[in-house]
Amino acid sequence: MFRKRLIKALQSISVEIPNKSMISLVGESGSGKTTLGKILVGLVMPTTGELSWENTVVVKDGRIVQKDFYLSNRHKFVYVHQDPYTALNPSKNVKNILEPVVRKYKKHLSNADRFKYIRELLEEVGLVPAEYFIDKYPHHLSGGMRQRLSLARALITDPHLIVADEVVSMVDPSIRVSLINLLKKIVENRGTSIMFISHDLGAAVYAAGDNPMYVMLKGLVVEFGPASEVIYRPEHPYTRALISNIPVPLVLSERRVRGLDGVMESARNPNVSSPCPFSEMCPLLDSECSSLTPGSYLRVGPDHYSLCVKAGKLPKWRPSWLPASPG
Amino acid sequence: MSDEVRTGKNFKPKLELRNLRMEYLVREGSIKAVSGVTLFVDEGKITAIVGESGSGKTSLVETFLKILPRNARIRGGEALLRLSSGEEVDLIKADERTMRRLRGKVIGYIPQGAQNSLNPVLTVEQHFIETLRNHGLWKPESSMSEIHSMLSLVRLDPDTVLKKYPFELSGGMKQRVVIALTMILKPELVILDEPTSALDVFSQRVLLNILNDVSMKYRNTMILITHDIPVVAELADRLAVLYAGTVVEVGNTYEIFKEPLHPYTSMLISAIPSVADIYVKRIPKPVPGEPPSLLNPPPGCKFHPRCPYAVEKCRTSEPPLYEPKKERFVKCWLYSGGEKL
Repeated sequence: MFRKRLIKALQSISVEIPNKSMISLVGESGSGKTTLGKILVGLVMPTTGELSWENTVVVKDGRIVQKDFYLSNRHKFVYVHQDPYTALNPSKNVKNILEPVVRKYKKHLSNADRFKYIRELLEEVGLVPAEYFIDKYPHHLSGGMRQRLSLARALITDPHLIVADEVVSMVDPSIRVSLINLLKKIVENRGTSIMFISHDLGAAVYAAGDNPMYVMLKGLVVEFGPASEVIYRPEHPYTRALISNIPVPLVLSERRVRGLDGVMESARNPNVSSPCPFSEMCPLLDSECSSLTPGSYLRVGPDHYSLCVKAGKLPKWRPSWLPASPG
Repeated sequence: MSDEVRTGKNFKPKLELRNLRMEYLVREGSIKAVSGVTLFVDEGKITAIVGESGSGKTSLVETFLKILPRNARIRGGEALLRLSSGEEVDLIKADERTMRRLRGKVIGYIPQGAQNSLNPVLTVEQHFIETLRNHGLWKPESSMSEIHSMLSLVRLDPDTVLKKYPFELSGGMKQRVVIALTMILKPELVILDEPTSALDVFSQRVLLNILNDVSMKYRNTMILITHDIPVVAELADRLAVLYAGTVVEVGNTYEIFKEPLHPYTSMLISAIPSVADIYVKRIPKPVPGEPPSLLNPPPGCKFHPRCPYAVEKCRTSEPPLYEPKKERFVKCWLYSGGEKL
């Protein structure tokens, strides 16, 4: 549905977002997640490559082509920011935050219908009772509520795609899941596609489920495939190291801190130069790795691809936190 | 815990907080950030204080360290610190001179984001020398080798790092320098506020190992403040769960994860999405509702509006801390059959 290709800050990345589904993008800070997200909605122009919205090329090699189509459709591709504390105007109440947007994008609504619409919108995102929230200012709301309000504002244009950039990272752990459930409900009820960007692998898997997940490192996608598959059968040393080293909410014994697993703390084998973004830390680095070409992936399973030249031949693996006997 | 267990022969907590209360005065009224916290911190162990944002984790620590902002008022309680010299100090009553004597040398505090507090115009070496001199611990003949071994303990190469300025180090490395700077004074109690946030997965794992090493080597008492439950699952011996300014559950980390007793603890643990979910076939369940406003906290148990087990009693009166099992403390009416603290 949307496709693009680009290099440098992001290198040789192709992402396709299917209709009516939530996919996720994970990576650590500086991996290029936000840049990719902003490119998808047309906020950042890629140096080279293409961006297509609904099979129509809108950006090509850094320039907007199909300008009319781009201008008349860009409100359908929206971006929700990470920080709900700065994304909302502190001097406006909920009604005044939403109303101008409704006026612009729902021109046919009469005054009375407009307020009815705003109330329904607030209820849809879980800000109930709507009457209670309608005259509140952002400082009255918790982080989770503000994020819901940001989402409500994004929904006014009836978007085809919402890029949700780290929307759960600044809200409390106890309400992260309910926010992701809200996103799932939006996908289901409205048929909107959502790109869920997060550095939290657990949240990203929960959001995507069996839909695609892309794992980014230093501007490259190193592995992608159905999220649950990528986590259960990772075929890139970086993804494996990530899964193994993440603290998990399982306590299997008395205090036991796991050591670093699958990562070299200091670079070794300086004789091998590889374009692989994980080469500096990878324990499996050898001369084979210099043949890697960014953008060319090995198929390791149905719809599951890895950038690693050794994918499919990697040693047997299981996360260091998983007990030896399979449960 | 029955007092005889604690006050008996050889088991006295390093730090004993009893019914600690603190409020922030704001235009709209008062924010009850710490409302009746009772917590015993065991000597030589790592105790984690976990809670969501606004649950009063940092406020609690700032209260007994007495480094509160000007609009804060301590409304009572005591914080008894037992020094290795045998001296006992109630930090709440202590004057500023006593506090100055304790801070740094006896109590080390690493606030959140401390890595940004290094002086940009001093090298790492100058930081160590200045810190030791200001506390009167600088010994020309032995201090340098101590600094070297401390930096090695936090997995930094002393020869390269000592001559560097903060801007030449990564966030994770600065974090470790700050930990080494704190530990060089050999504090008996170290408090770390969100040490693992803002680090990538691999640096976070290295840091967890460093904190474990430090705790094993110096056997000092550590308090870890965090919102990150999985981090706590690995590193902490004991866990104190904070909700709306009050401790709702305390106990051994392993025991709490195996069988959480307070409804909030249990719901919080099952609310966290994790990569392990795929392996253990677990589906995270959200905690309904939102944390309460501390400006107008709900009457009775502060968790009752979100609690599936709430009964009339929970809405009207606040439960005491019960001990339904040995060394397990829960502030919940469900355990009213248990022994009261």
